[in-house]
Amino acid sequence: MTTTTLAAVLSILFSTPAYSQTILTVSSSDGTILNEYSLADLDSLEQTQLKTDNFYIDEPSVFSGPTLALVVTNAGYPTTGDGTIILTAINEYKVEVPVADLEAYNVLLATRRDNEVMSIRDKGPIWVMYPISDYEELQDPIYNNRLIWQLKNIQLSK
Amino acid sequence: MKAARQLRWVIVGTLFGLFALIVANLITLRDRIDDIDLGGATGPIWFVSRIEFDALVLQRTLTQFLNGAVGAEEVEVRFDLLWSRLASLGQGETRHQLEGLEIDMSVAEELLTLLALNETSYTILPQEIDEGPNATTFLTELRGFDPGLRAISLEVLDASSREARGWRDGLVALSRQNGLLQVLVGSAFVVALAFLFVENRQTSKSLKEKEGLLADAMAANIAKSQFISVMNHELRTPLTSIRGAVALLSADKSFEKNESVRRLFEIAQSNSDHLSALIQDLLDVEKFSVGKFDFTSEPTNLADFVRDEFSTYVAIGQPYDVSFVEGQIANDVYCSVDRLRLRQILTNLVSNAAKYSPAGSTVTISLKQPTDTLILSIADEGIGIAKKDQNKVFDAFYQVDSSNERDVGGTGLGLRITKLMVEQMGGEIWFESELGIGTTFFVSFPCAADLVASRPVPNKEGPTTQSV
Repeated sequence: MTTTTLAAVLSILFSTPAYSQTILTVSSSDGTILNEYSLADLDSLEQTQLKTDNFYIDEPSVFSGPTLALVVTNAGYPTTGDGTIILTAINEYKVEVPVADLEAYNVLLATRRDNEVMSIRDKGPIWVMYPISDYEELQDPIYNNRLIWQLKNIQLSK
Repeated sequence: MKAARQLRWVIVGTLFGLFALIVANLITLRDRIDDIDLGGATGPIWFVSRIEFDALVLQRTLTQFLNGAVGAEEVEVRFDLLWSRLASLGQGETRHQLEGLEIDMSVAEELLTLLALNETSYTILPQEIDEGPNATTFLTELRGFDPGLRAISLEVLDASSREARGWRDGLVALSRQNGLLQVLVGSAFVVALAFLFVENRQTSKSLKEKEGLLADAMAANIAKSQFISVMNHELRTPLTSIRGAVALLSADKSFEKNESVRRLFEIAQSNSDHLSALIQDLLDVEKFSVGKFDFTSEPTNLADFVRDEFSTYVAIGQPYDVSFVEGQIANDVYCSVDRLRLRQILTNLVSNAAKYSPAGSTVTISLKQPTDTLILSIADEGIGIAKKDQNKVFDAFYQVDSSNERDVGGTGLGLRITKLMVEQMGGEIWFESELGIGTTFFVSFPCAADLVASRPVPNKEGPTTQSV
């Protein structure tokens, strides 16, 4: 009862889906669901963090969460090669990301900003993050577009 | 030739000018590229139009909720998405860009205020959503923002278009500059080609000229050698006859008492001797130049050699009233020399000393052995050689201007031949001179220690012969 109340309170405070509620699906190009993740599932994966600035924030922040490469590997797909991944946001905004980016820049599925869970209002619950500050070539509109927030689906293709 | 050189400088100057222009253009090109904003989906127009879109989606979802088509959770998601979109306008680069466009964004701020006012009703969704008047009122209020949102969308679009026009202008300027750069690079290429062409022509021209000059010089040298050979033969034969005839006539006793005839014979003899010496000197120089001068080499005690020849030197000095004295003489020193040529060398130097010395003066001949070198010196008290002339002394046909009125005669070849012969025997020749005080000529020969120690008997193994 206490846990349920706490979850409800957290949900109200952060406007985030319940901790165990599915927030991310990984699917193949034909739409088959390969994996589903709740925030708890994502937290159980190896966590990585990076500090960076980007086009949409005022100050550099520390972002943390599992890497996109880890989620792709868990689905049994390669993290190298010439392929692309289609990322879709809650509002159906889509962006294509080259698979080559995954290891080149250690792309993050950030679930925390400065150690705080991100609500939908704050571009959560998942914000795809590149280490923009660490690479000069990433400071470009192409990469700004790839910083997709409110991520809900990852579509993989062989 | 001068015009060609000027042309070359003009071309090089033009080339450098063109390169400077190219570099300057490349720098400004870089600046222009940097100035052009590439825009993209992250631009303000995208954000503002997305707000309009998300507001419409929320309206539609609310309507569907009121109709019972969707759940309260869906309303909440759309509410939060619009909130996040509105919040993004005030953050990061988007805020800077909107400020740069100077657009009144108060409508968006008011919409965010409306969302905040309705937050209580909708953020505790889905449990406490009010399906009654509150939701309907919110939907109505939300719809009231549509014209305002449309207006700022259009304003941002207009401002973005203005920016895009600037961007297009930038592209046009870039294209023009690119064209200019192409022309400059093309011109530089043409000028460089012209330069190479001119340079190549000049090089081949000057090469041809040099080849021509070399061929001329070689031909002249051959002609000179041929001329000297012919002259030697054609002059010497009649000269020998003349000298023979003059000698016979001057020996005729019937002319002895006629002083003027005897004087004329002396003049004839002296001049034919001089002519003969001149021909011999010319022949010697020519022999050196073509490498036909033969040398024999034999160990010689130079002190004995000088003493043996001393009476000759005294005789050479007599007509000039110049006396010869022995200075310091190092005894028992042997050098490998060609005696005939050494005699010629000493006679030349002694004759010069006598000719350029005033009457009544003395010439001192010395022989010193400072180390393993033997130095022979002939010091006169003559007119000396001016500093400016000293580097020409060993040149062919050079004669020191005589300040006295005595005709010194000579061919101007003596010192040249002397130097060539000394060097051929492994020796060196030099001099020290001061105007009005005198000149000392030095000749050095290497004297091998074993020759000094063993004192070989001259001619025991016979002289060795070499040719230059």
